[in-house]
Amino acid sequence: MKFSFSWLKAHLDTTCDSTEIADWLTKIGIEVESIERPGDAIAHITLARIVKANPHPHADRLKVCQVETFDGLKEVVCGAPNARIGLVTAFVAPGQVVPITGEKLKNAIIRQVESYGMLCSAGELCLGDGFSQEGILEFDPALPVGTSLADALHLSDTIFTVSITPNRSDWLSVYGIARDLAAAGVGRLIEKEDVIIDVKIPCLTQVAVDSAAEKDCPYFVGRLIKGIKNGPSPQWLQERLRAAGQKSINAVVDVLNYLLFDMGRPMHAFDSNTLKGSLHVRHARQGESLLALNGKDYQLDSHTLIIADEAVPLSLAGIMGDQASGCTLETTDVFLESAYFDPIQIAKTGRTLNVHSESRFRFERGVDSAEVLKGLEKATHMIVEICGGLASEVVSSGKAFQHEKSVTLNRARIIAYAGLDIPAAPQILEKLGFKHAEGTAPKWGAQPTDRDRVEVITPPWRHDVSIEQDLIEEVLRIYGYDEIPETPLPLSRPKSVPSSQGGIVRRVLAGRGLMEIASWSFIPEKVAQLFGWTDPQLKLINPISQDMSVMRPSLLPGLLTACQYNLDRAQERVALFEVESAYESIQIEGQRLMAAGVRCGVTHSAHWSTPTKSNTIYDVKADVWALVEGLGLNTQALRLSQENLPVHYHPGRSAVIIGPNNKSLGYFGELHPQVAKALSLDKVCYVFEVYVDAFTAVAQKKSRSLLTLHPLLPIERDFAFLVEHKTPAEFLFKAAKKADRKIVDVTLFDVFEGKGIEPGYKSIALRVLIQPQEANLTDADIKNISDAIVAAVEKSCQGKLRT
Amino acid sequence: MLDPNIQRLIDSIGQADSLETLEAHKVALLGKTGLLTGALKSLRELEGEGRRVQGERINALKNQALSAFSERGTFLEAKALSARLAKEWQDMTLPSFSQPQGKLHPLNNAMEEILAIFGQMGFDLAEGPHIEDDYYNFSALNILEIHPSRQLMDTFYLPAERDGRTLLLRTHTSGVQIRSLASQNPPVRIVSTGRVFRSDYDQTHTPNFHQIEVMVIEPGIHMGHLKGLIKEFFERFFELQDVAMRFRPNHFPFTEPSAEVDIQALRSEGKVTLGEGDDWLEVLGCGMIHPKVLENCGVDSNKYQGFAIGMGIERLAMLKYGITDLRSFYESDLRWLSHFGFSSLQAASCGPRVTA
Repeated sequence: MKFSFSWLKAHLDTTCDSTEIADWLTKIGIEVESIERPGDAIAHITLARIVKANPHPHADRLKVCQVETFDGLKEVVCGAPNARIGLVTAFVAPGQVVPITGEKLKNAIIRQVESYGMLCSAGELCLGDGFSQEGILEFDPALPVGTSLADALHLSDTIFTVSITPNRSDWLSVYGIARDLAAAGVGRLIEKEDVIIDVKIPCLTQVAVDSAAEKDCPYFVGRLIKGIKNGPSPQWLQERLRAAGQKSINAVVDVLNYLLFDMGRPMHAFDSNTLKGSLHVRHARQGESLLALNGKDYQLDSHTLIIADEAVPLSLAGIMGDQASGCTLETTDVFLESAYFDPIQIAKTGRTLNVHSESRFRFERGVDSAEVLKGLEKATHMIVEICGGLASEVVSSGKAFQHEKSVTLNRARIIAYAGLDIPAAPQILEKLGFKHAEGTAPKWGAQPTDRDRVEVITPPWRHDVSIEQDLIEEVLRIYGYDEIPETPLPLSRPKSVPSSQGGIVRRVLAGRGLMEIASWSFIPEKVAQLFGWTDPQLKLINPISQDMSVMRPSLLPGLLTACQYNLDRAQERVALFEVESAYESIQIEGQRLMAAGVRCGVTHSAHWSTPTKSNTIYDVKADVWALVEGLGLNTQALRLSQENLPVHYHPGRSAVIIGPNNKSLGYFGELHPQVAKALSLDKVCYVFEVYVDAFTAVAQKKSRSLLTLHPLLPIERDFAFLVEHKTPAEFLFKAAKKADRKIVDVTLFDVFEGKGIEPGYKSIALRVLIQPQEANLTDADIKNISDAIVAAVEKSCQGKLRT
Repeated sequence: MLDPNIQRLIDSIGQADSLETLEAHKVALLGKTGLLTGALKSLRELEGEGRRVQGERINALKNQALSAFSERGTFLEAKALSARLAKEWQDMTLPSFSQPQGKLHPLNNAMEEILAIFGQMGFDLAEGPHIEDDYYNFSALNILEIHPSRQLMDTFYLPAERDGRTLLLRTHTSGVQIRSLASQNPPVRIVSTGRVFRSDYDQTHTPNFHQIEVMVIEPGIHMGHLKGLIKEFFERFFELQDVAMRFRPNHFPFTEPSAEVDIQALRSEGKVTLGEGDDWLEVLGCGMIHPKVLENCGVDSNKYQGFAIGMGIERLAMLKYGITDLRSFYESDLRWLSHFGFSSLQAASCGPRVTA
C-alpha cells in the first residue's frame, strides 16, 4: 500500500513530520517499508526561460539559446527541436548533477561554442513514464524563472510504502490509517463529510440479487449518471493515483480507483449504453465465460459469483469487470455499482480463477459494511463534479447492514496477559471506533477491581476482532508495546539438550577431514530415479522448478552436485558430508535421518614428507567405521554383504553394512559408473550413506568392567596364506582369531598378487599377537597355536600357508 | 713398591682427548689386567701392618683415578655433545604435515548454539516431521482454509493423504507446538529446530530453510516474560551486553496479541553490526498463543496461557557470523565452507553472558 503525506493529511490534522509519522505507523502495527521523496533526485533543478534561440554557426540541428536562469542570463547549446523563444523548461547549471548520468555537469564546448549548462528532457531527468519523451520539458510560461522543478512537477511530496497484515483490511485505505493514527494521539481525524446528491432522473436499469446469491451478496446498490463528459482527471487526482502506484486511465475510472485507496471501498462503473436490460447478481452457469479488463478469458462455473445483464456476464463480482462494458473516454452514461460481497466467496473465486485485483484484495479481507451506500454517493458526487451529468435515484437489492460483534474485556485479563495495567483501556477502544454496550461502565478507577470490565460492539470496518485477546492487542498496541516490562522467565532446572546423534556424527566426519554442506531436500525427478526413487507420492504437486520436484531418496545427489561444483572450481581434494533427512515414504517413519558423504580426488595436497594419494573405497570405509564407533557400536559386530545393494552403487566395489539383528545400517563403496556418467561427474566418487536413526542412543556406561593387565610379554608371529582372488580377507581374519583363546589380535599387513603368485590367487599376510596367560609359552605351545591357525584358515577358506 | 706407572697413568687421565682414549686408560688401570687391579691383587701377598698401609695407598689411588675418570668423562661427553649439536640442524620452517580437517556448517553450528542456550534455561527439545499434514501445519494453528495467510505461505503440496489429511511440506516449525501438546500437558517449555519449506527462491528466500520454535505455557506467564526471554536470548546468542529491541504489533493467526521483534543494527558498506546505529533489523515473530490453538490441543485456555516464538536460523547465523548472502548457505563452495565453517573440536557455545 502506497500513499503520499499530503493525502494522509487530508484525513489527519497533525503537526508531525514524515519521520515521526513513520515511527507512529510502526508503533501501531503498520510496517513501513520505505519513505521516499521522488523529488529529491531533482531537488536542485530549477526552471529557466529561453529568451533567444539562434541557429548554431557550425551545426544545423543545434541552437544557441540565451536563457534566463536563476543565476542570470546564460548561453546554452541545445539540440531539442522544441527549443524556442519564450519556452519555460528545466535547467541544469554547471556543477549540478544530471540525474541520468549521476555526475556533475561541466562547461562544454559544443562545435566551438561554449555551453553554460543544459536544458533537459524528461528522460535526462529520469522522470519515468507519464511525461512526454519528445524534446525538452515544457511548463506553463507563467511560472517564474527559478521555480523548483520538483514543485513545478508536484513531486515534493513524501511517499509512504507500507505493508498491511492480512487481518487489517481497514488499513488498506488512507482514511483507515489516519483513523488509527488519530486514536494513537498523532493528530485529529478529519471526519468524512456526507455528500448530498441532487437526484435529477429516474434509474431505468433495475438490479436484483438472485435468492441463491443473497448470502454472497447481501446488499447491492447502483445508480445511473447520464450525460457525462469523460476525460482525463484533474491534476490532484492523477497525483494521488501516481502516489498509490496507479496509472491514470480516465476520470470515471480514476474516481473509483481513488475511492478504493482513499476509503477502502471497491466499486465498479459500467458503460450503461452497453447494458441489456436489468442487472443480476447470480452464480454463473456452466459454459459462460468473460473477457476481463486484464485481457484474460475466464471460464466460469456455478461457484463463480457474477454481475450479468439479461444477456451476458459483465463482471466477476467484486473482482474485475469485463472489457465490453467498461468505461472509456467515449462513455456518456455510466451505471455505478457498490455492494458488499462475502469474503470467502471472493477469495474462492479469486483463487480458482487465479485472478488478482485491488478490489479482490479488499473484499476477501472484508470491507466496511456500513459504507456500501456512502461510497456510491461519494463516487457520484465526484463524477458529477468532474464530468458533469445527471444522477439518478439509487436502485438497490438486499438490505443495508452493519457487521458487528459484542466482545467483553476484563481488566484482570489485560494484567494477566500484558503484565501491566492499562486503566485507560475503555477510552482507547472508544477512540478506535468500538462502542460501549449499554449498561457497562466505561470508566475504570486507578486501582483495578474484579468488576472492571467493558463490553464493546466492534466497528463495522473491523472483521478481525472477535475475542477478548483481540481487544487486549488493540489496547496494548495503542498504549504501546514499549511499555510492557521486560520480565525474566522464572528459573527452571537446566536441561542437557542431549548431544544428539547427528551432532556426534557431524563431529566425527568433520574430524576425518570432510566438510559439512547443506543441500536441497528436493531433487530433479531424473536424478531421483538414478537413486531408486519410484514412489509418486513423494513428488511435489507444485515444485518451484522441475529440478526441485522429488523429495530426495538419498542425500547423495546433493553431495555429488556439490562435488562437481567444487571440481569445476579447480579443487583437487573434495570430501563432503551432510547429515539431514532423506525420504522413503510419506509416512512419518519414512523420513530417515541419514549421514552421507563423498570423497573424490586426492586425500591431501602434495606435501614434501607425505606423498599424495588418491581416495579409495577404504577411505570411505574408514569414515563409516569411525562414525559407527562414534555412535557407540563396536565395528566388530558389523557384517558386510554385497547383496541387496542400492542401484546407485558399483556392484563389485560396494557393500551393505549389516548391524546386529541383521538390520541394514547403510552402504559404502564406489558410485555406479552409469550414475556417475548420468550426473556428468568427471572423477570416480567414493560414497557412503548411514541410517543414523537406526542406531539406538548408546550412552557410554560410566562404570566399566574389571581389567586384567597381563604381566607376561605377548608374542608376535607372522603367517602368509595363499587364497583364491575373491576370498574375503575377513574369512582368514576371523578364522585366525578364533583358532586359540590366547590370540588377542590379528593384523593384516600385506596383500599381494602378481609375480610368484599363481594367477587367480593372492597372498595375504597376517600378524598374530599371542598373549601368554599364566606362564610363558614353550616352543611346543607356540607350535600348537600356529598349527591351529593354519588348520583354521585352511578349513574356512582353503588357505594354504606359504612357506 | 707400587708401579710408578700407576701414578703416571692417573696423572695423565686429565689429558685424555677422547672418550675412546679415556676408556683405554680405564682398561690400563682398572681392567682385568689393569695396573691398579694387579696392585690390589698383589695385596694378598702382604700381611699385617704392611698390608694395611699398602691397601690404604692403593685405595686412595683408585679413588683418585675414579674421580679423575668421572671428571674427564663428563668433560669429554659435554665436548662431544656440543660438537654433535653444532653439526645437527634441520629446517624448522619446512611445513609439517597434518591431516586435512573438515568443518561444521554455520547453519548447524547456529542451531547447536541456540539449543544450548535454551537447554540452559530449562527447555525440552521437541521434533516434528518435514512431511506434515494440513491439520498440524494450518488448521490447528487457527490458519483457516480460505484465509489469505494460508496462501501467503507458498506451500509445497504432495499428491497424497495421511490419516485422511492433505500432505504438504511444513512451512514453519509452529506445528511442533501442536504435536508437543498432544503428547504432554502444561506446564511446558519446548524448543524445536529444523528444516522448513516455502515456494520462494530469490535473493532473500530459499525454498528450504531452517527455523526455531520456542513455546512456554506456565502459570502466570505474560508478555513481559516473552520480552524478557527474547532479550536474554539475544544477549547470549549475539554475545552483546545490552541490546536495544523494538517490539512491533503484527499479526499471526496462531498468536494474539502478536509482535515482530527488531534488533538495533548499524548497516554500513554491506556489513551489519548489531547493537549499534539507528537502523532496525527484523529478527523474529512471536506472541501469546491464541486461545483457539490451545483449545485445539485440548488445553483449557481459561486456565492456561503462554507464548510462542518463531525465528529463522539462517537470519540469526548471518547476523552473528557476518554472512551476507543467504543463498551461499546452500551453494556448498569449499572456499565458503572453509571460511564460515566451525571446527569440530569446538563445542557449541552456551556460556554465560559476556561481561567484558
